Amino acid sequence: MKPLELIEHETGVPVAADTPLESLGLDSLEFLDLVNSIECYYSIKLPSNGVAILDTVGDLVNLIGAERDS
Amino acid sequence: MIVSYQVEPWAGALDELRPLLLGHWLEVDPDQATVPLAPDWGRLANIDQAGALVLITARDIESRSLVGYIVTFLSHHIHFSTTLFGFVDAFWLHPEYRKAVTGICLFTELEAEMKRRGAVKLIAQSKVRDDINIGAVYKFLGWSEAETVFAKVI
Repeated sequence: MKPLELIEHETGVPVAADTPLESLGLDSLEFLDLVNSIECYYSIKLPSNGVAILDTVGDLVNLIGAERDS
Repeated sequence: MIVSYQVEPWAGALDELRPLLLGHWLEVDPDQATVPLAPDWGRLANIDQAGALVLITARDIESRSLVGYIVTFLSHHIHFSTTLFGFVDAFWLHPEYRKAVTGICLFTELEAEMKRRGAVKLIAQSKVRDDINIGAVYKFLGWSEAETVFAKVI
């Protein structure tokens, strides 16, 4: 599953790269559940300093890509 | 709702902080009937003037209104007097702003500021009530669970 599809699957919300993260309807703890799901699915660890500066779903997808490539 | 995070002077934010502190207390304190909210503003001002109070704020970028805060005391630990600690006293985010990374950003800002000021270790607590337990945020940021705090009204 591609990151965008995984985010849609986990949140139940249709998303695009420019979707603001706050539009996902997740509070901070639910967002961390999403992060945990992503980390488990791809066997990666997203850096907290990278997560803290995310604005959009596209930013999150890019961060996932960077961690998968590293 | 886009939020900015910053360090602010305690005295400058106090008028906006007061109503939020009340909302904070009403939301989280289970002992309101026996332990009334009564901040010691004079003592807090003294701590601030001593340079030992660090206020991190979250503000709505459009309205500039205060929507959250972390209050932390910077102090040498009584048992580890050569080490500067940050003791998180209070943190709260308005429920409408508890979205995605806001809590993470507040604490990231706190960590950066406390490191800048020379703190070596941060100590904070979390409520155990499920809807306000932020243990997951701490753990995501690399904190470890160190103690459990108990309370009893006697």
